[in-house]
Amino acid sequence: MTSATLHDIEAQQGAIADYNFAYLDEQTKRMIRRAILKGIAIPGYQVPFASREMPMPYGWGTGGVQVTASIIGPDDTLKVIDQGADDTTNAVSIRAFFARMAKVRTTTHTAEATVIQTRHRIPEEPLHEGQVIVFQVPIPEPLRFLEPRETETRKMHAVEDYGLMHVKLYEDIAQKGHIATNYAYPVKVKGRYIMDPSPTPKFDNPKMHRSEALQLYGAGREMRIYAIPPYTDVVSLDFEDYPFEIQHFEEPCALCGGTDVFLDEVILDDQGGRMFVCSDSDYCEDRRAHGHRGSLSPDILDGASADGDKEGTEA
Amino acid sequence: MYVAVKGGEAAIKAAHELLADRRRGDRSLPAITLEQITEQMALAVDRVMSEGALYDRELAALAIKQARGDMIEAIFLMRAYRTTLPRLGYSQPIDTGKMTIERRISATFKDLPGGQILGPTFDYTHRLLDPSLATDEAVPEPQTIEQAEDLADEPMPRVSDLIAGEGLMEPDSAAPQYGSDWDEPGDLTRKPMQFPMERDLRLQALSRGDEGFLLSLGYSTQRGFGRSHPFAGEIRIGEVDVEMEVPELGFAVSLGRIQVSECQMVNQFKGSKTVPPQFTRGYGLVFGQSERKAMSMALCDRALRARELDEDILAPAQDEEFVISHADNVQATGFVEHLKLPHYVDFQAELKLVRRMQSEFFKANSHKDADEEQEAAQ
Amino acid sequence: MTRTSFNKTSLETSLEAMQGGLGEPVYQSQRIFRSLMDAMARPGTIKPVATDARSPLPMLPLTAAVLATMADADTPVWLDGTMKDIGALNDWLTFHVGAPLVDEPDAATFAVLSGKRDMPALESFAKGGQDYPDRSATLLIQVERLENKPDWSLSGPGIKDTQSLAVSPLSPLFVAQWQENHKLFPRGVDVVFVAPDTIACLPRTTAITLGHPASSDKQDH
Repeated sequence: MTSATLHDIEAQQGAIADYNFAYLDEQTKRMIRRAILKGIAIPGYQVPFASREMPMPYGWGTGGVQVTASIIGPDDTLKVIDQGADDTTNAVSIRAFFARMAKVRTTTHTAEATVIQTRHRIPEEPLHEGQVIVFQVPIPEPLRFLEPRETETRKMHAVEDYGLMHVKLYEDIAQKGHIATNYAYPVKVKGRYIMDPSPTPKFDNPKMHRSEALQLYGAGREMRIYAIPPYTDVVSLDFEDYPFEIQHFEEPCALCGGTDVFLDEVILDDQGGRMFVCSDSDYCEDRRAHGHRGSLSPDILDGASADGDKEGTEA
Repeated sequence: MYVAVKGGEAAIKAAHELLADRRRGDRSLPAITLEQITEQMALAVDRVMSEGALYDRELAALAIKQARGDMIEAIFLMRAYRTTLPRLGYSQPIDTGKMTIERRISATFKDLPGGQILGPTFDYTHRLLDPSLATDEAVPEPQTIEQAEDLADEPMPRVSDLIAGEGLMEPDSAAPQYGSDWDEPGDLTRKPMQFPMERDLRLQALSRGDEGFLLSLGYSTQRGFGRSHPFAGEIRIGEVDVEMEVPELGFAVSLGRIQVSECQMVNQFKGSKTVPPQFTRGYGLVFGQSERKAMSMALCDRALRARELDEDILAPAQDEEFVISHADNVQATGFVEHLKLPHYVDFQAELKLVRRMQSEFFKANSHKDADEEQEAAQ
Repeated sequence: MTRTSFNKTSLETSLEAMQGGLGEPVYQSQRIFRSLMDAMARPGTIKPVATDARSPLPMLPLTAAVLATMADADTPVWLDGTMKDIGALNDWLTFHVGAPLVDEPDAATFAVLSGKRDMPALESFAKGGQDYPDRSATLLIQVERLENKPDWSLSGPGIKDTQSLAVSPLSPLFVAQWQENHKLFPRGVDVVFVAPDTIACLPRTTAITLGHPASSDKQDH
């Protein structure tokens, strides 16, 4: 019995059989596919699913990976980002997993991708019709930090009792002068369910509203899948006298000069030196390829291109 | 000069090569074999099988070796392999009453049919480091006592069944009416978890749960956080048959034998409006030899029956959602360790907010100071 | 826990039933699912779907392919009166889908029905609860034609402005029942219309307005 199972492992590693396309077995895919369809039919509602152990740890994208593995096919082109970047280690690892297990084409270009798996960001370039964006979700329950019990939060969603959330946001305003939630900022989907957009910065919330792309959310450890179909109203919670607002950066990206994008702060030295660069690495590279320059672009620093500087500051 | 971080793939590959190197260690020493692990680290193997929820000693040994002895990592490896295995069928319930006993003790009766059998236990060893184990000293074969062989033939009814005979013990929950089938137990690896939970699923979650977590929770019930007056009614360890019914044959065939540890805690129960005073039970069953885990599981099981038995839910160990949601160490380690993944987008958002709030704080305070100075001056 | 029980049939029937499953099932079911997912995410759009499944009449091969893609031993299936007692069809479903067939409509995860006159009322199927609205049925309604004609003007999530759709033949009671279903949100059933080579979906969120020919053609993709 035991030697046979060892042989099974060897056989699996030697040749990936049809049934292991995209790792999951077909029964698991069916179960996840059913959850995805119900998620689409009930936008913003968290569909429970029997999440499987994956060959990466819980909390590292197992929900997103299971969703992607259940929808992806040989005709797809996959992009994986973490913190907006294609080259962060976990994005590299997940991309390599699908390149190996599903033999799919991968890309770093947002526009080329048919499926985009993401952690913590929505690309700057607007998504288009036919694309699917899959979010890795750590805590799918927007009410979790107000009420830790699933039994209670389920009741609140059932009767649409979201008073607790409004009280929390209002207390923020009363005590701090503004809503102190900067990421995983709660939204209301189709005027019914309050939903956690995953820990994307609230900067990205407006991109969810009536997006052309299908948005799928997978939480592996918490065993929930939810969805927002294209062209669906997604409203960030706020108050009439305290309207929702996104983060604004005072300076443009130091590499591409981009404005109205989410920037990462990079510490340059221990003297307080810092710069701000695009969190979306593909967007930044694309702009630079099209001649845009920021104040700290290598060729600007070298004094090579005065034009670039001008363009950068305009952009 | 800032250079965007590139080469994640190369870095990952290099890190994994380094891991392989450290795992192998000093090349002048022979590599440890899976047989050595299964034979000489048997209890580690048992824990990995139990919490990995897959009974296969060789794979568990491989997982331990691959994980460099990190038990939770090894358990994770087992689980990730287990989840890819097809379900070919479902076995019949094992019958621990027909166990080939290696160890069997009861704390509730001095003697009982079948006797008390200590078996291979750490109990009553003096915990003094044994220098003879530092070298490969010969270990004599254990003595065979004839009486033990006689005992092996004697039936060993479970203590719970003995007490039940007197009507003092609650019956097995969901016991079938005569002639009807048992309810099919659920499977939380195939169906989404839902609270409140039935006891079958809870027991499955506990059996897969982290030994340390359950140990501490069980301990907390003994210290008064959900006290349930437990007695170790019986602990038995040994091998049982696993049988499966084959529809084409019309009868059950044996698939093999597995070693399990079973613990039945017996708890005094004052009774409720509908249930007379009697003894109730907490149940623990795990793969391999692990009575600490089986006992902890039994304590937690009994504590978690508070709702069913109409007891006040006051302590952490009685809180089903709390216990079951946090008992799985594969889930727990993943989420705790995910904090080392980059979070700089969220942190950036926080940085902006904290900077803004801090500047508002100082501005408000400086106004206040100015006001106070003015007041003082007047 | 649900188990498939294999009906003991004669060798001939078994062999017949074994024919006509999805070729390259892993890839084909992935393709079919993606069409289904896109169709559910964009209600009323008509998706061409190819399959090589060959199922006994009167089940359309495409219906059978959708079932083989989505259903299994964990999902009870209900067949309407035109299909339920056809032995060859039951054998095919047992072999290729493995889903238990149920008599009560409200016990089904998937229900297959003909769009013609005698369609059972939508409300006879599982609509889920307020706490678990996902525990609701998906109906596969077999029809002859799906067209982007302005019989219906659809609106709701997944639809930019409005989407036109014409389904025939379909029970005249359907639209009124659908309005009731739509009002139940978040509870309700979801519908997949299956024509011989195409599918179109109506999730519970979709509102149907009857024909506005003037604003018809511009929304067709």
